[in-house]
Amino acid sequence: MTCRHAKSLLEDYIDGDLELDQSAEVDSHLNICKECRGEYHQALRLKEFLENQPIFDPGEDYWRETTELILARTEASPSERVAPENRRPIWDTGRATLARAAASFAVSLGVLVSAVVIGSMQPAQIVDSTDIDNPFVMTASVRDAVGTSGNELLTAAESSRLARGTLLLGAPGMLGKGIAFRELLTSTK
Amino acid sequence: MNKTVPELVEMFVGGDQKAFAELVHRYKKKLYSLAYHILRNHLDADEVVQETFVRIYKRREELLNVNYFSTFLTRIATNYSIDLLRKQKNRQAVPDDTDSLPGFIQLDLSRRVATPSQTFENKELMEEIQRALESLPARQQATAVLHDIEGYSKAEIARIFDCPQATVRSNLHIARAKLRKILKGRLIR
Repeated sequence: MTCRHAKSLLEDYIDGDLELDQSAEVDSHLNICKECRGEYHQALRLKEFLENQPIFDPGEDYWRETTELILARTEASPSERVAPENRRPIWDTGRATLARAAASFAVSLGVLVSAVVIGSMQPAQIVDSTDIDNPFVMTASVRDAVGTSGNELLTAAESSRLARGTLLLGAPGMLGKGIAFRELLTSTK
Repeated sequence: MNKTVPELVEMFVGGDQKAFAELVHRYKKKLYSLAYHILRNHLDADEVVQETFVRIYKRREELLNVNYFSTFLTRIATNYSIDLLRKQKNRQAVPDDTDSLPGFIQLDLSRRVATPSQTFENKELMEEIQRALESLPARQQATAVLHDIEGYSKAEIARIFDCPQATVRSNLHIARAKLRKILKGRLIR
């Protein structure tokens, strides 16, 4: 065994961590090598001094007071871990974030699809019920005529229906306007 | 209380304050000794002891998954000591003089000395070793204290630091080599 090898094993030799055959080799080397033996004794002496460091005792009063302090500090102290009954629901935990995002996306997609479906049905209803191809503009004269008797735009029956609330006037797309303003549509084209 | 540590831990987790008081009683001196040997300071060691038990109390539910209560306790105390040690090193704190603390008892300065001159010589060397220890990086110092002063095995230290045993061995050998270099000449008989 070389000195270098022996020195690399000294700490383990002192700690008793070597296999028996390795330990015997270091042993033999130390018997014949004065330099390594010197290092071994220094390492051993250091270890002995460390092992024999003074043990301090602050005294019984200190131990009693410290114990009381610890117990006082912990008596009203709750556990930092949340009790099972107070744990957040599964959808509110970190792991469920992805699930929440997916659910949110599905709801949004549902709303979007519904809007598209309803929207696609809406123009057909209006066209079917009013039979109007072109929009019209309500002029000031029409506004003035509405509600007055004997005007040229509305028949007596339409004025009567308007007064009863069974006929509505409004923006393009409103149900009934085509019937009410046939003459107007003709004049504005 | 004539209970084993696992029994006490189970009672403590179940909310038994007396079991906790018994655990404090059994481990407080061991923790104080460890913290004092790392920090060389009574006030800091006292802080480590109190804080460790307060943290254990708050994290008591984790103890159900802990195999070795002692290791868990020592890990908290060691890590807290290292934190304080790093702060200490940053502010270049001077360790307090234990002889001047009222009521502070040095139980056993050195169990190996026989004569007054040897006592003086050894005390001087002890102080040099302490200063040499303080010059080491925090993790190496804590490893040397745990292994060579407090008597923990490398396997236990590896569990405390949650690192491979080879890392502990390496840290320990580096720490000892540095100490031998600093104390060169003082270790020759």
